[in-house]
Amino acid sequence: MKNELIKIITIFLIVGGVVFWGLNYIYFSNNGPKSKAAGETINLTFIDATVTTSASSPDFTVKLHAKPSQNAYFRGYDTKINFDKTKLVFKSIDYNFGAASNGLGDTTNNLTAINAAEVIHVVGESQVAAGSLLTLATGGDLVTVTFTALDHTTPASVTIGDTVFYSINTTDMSLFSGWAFDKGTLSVNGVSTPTATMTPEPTVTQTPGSCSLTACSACASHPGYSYTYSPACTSSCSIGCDNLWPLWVGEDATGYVNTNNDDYVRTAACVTACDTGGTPIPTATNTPTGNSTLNLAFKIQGIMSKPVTTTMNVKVKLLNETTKVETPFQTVQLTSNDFGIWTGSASFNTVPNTRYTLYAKGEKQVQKKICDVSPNETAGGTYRCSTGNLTFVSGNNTFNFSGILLLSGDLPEQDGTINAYDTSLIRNNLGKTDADTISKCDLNLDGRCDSQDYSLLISTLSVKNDEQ
Amino acid sequence: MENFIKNHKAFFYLLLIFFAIFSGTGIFITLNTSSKQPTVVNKELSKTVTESVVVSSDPATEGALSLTTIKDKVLSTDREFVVDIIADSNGKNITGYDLALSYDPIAFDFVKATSSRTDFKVYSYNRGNYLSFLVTKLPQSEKTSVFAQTKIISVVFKPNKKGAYNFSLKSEINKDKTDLVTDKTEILNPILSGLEVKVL
Repeated sequence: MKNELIKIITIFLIVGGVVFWGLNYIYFSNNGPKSKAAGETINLTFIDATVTTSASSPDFTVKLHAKPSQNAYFRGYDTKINFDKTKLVFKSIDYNFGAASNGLGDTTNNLTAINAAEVIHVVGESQVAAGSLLTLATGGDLVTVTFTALDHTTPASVTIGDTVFYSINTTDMSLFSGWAFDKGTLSVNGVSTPTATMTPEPTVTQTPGSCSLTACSACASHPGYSYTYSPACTSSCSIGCDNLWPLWVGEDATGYVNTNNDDYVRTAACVTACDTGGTPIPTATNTPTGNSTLNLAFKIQGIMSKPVTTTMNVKVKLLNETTKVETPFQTVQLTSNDFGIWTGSASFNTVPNTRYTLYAKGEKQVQKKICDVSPNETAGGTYRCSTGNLTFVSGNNTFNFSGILLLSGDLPEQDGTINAYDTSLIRNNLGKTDADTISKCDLNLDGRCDSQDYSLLISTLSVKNDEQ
Repeated sequence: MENFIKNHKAFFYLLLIFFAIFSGTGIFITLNTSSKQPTVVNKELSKTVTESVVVSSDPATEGALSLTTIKDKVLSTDREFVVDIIADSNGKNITGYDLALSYDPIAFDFVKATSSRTDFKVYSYNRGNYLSFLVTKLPQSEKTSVFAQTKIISVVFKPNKKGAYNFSLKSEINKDKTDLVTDKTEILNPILSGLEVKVL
């Protein structure tokens, strides 16, 4: 009897175990306990939450800190850090919690794109399959970000955008993303008081072009500063002062730079005040002003011989691969030869023995990134590169980029991408030959807007956006 | 039978206790689950999709674009589901449009997008955490394309994991926009709506 009882108990334990497992599978597989209770939050804050910069020390570094309302293991996170590019320039990012998700998370390598978009897309993931622990007690730093404040007297803020965290349900190792967030804001120079000092006192030397002005009455209202332009202007100067003075930072829209490497954005009032008696500046000038003259040759998609229109403007800029600083765009007027090769010259101040990337964007083309001295491609428009390998010497530098195509499709007014506006612009004007239409949609420059132009645009949809 | 119970008392009581626990647990969990989610849950991992509209705060000028899907559609893990985009062009003839559709790429795989009108061609771009579509009317089409609560495009997704997720049209993400372009090459910025999807 005793042996039989043991046998029965054993069978019951086994059957009970199987039934329990079955119940667990049926009922808990979908509704099992999560890695966090509903309603739990994560505090996202910047450390420090307030930052003050100075003229001599414009860079600052902050950490994005996450602190959950209960301990949890996290597999990944996806958040956005928003900033104003007119006030701050993104410089670098380091991932402290896990690593950047390959192809998704922004890194310092995406510096140009980040600054253009004014948002850092932070996507990181734990390198441990079971996730990494963030505790209620201490939390953890997600990333360390460095910015440059363009003007220490202008308040700026950095905010946190759409955010998702993926924690791991330790029961079944499933991912959970239902966390709520309490987001902090970073205040930069929020309490600083503008000071009216600028050392050295600006002396304007306008380049390129010939326009200057003798005094700016609007600027003269700021004691101790005046502007001496030489030779004198008559009209349409593209350089001057602004009402934001003395916040003289960055570049103006035209890319003109004075000797202090400061620049000016003029208000309408200042233009009126300053331009009386000046001389006009050519809007598109190829006048060499830098130490390096770039003699460039390009090939444009769809143009195989000398077109009806034989000149076009292409904007060119350089990216210093060491400092990651871009020059302003220079407009280069290109002229076509009989074979549809377009040549022209631009001038830049370059640093010897430094590698650069060149970006070229035509009036109706998407931006092309060029890294190599003599780039080539087997199929039109397929050349791609990552890091610039162009070096320059003082004086003439000749580059033949006609081995690759500048792809067409981003029509005026350009916005850096090919979209329905561009396709519709050609589609809605098929067959037209008037000057206004041709100036916008004639991609192959044959004097008419037709299906060939439409086909060229469609073929560029494999690229769509400006290369960055 | 009485003899059997007398001879196997321990067996009988164990069976009784076990049956009570089994039944009680089953009833409790079933009731608990039902009160929270009326959807039938298969023994296999199942997913339920419900919908509600989330109106975005993006500025709008003219027309409207909204998302919809079939209500209460029960899906298995390997079943795809369709998000339809409904357009209203405010009486304007449309020759192209752009869409920036935000979604959770971890929870869903984008499968394909198909234009509901044969004279429009869709170009799809997977940007990681959102999809960009450029849809252009074929040059040879002479039909007018005035959208009035018209289904213009169907986007197919495959769900990957449980949870509540939003699909939303964004007026602009990076360089990608949501807009409608007319036969006068006029850009309309429509009112945008979203879709909340729950996957169980």
